[in-house]
Amino acid sequence: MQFTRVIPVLLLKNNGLVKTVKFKNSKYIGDPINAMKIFNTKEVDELVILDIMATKKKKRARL
Amino acid sequence: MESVIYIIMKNQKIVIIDYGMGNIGSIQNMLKYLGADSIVTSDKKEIKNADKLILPGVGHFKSAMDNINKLNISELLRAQVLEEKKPILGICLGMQLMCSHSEEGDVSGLSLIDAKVKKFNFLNNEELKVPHMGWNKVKLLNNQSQIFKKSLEGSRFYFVHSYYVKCNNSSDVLTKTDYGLNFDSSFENGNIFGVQFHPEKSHSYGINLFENFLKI
Repeated sequence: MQFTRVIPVLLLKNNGLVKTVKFKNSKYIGDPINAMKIFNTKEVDELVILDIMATKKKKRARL
Repeated sequence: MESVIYIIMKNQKIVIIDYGMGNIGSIQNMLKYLGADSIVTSDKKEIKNADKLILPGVGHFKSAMDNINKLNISELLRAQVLEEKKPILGICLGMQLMCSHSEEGDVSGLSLIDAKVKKFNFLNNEELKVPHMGWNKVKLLNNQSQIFKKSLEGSRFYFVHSYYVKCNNSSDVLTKTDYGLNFDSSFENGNIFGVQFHPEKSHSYGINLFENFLKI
């Protein structure tokens, strides 16, 4: 049996979650920790968090 | 009652065996959430002093066995589990390492349980991808289990694996999961427990399983 995985994608920019239009005109939409807590309580299948500043700032993955 | 449980959780030494492979952080976090302290080590003395052992693991079977053999702890682990009867929980590759043999690298495992590890083969079915990844259900076959106490109705667990365990004794099989075939997704034999899925990534169902393991 296969289950569909519903995976919200959150965009992280300078420690805040943002909504963008093609990665431009970003709007702050909330605190990442709080958002993750909410998704966790709602038992979401998986979460993807993209640090959209990582490439620009040449940061390595923080695991 | 709450405080009694707290003391049980607190006053035991949980050793997570470190052989250089595995997602140990999330396991430790879950144990901490349940009030249990754990240490991550491959030190023989610490393993000897442990009350309970957790064998984690993500990666290649042969590399894992090579690492364990390099650390020279396989005989010690066997003695702790088979003679001292210490409870051991193998997770994902950790479960597979407890078996006698794996197709991945064609090598022997720790042989704590009479089982073999095989590769998923779905060449004729393009819909089934390997690895088997995501949430899936488990069907409980043993209602005397020490780690699955609650009714499993509706329980789901998170899987990521390309190889699966096939127990030789059907009495060892604890749960089965359907992915192309009905494979053994966990086993239990006395003090020996193995789960193919990741309880540390399985929300409240996984927490419940860790809680039962801590209470043994």
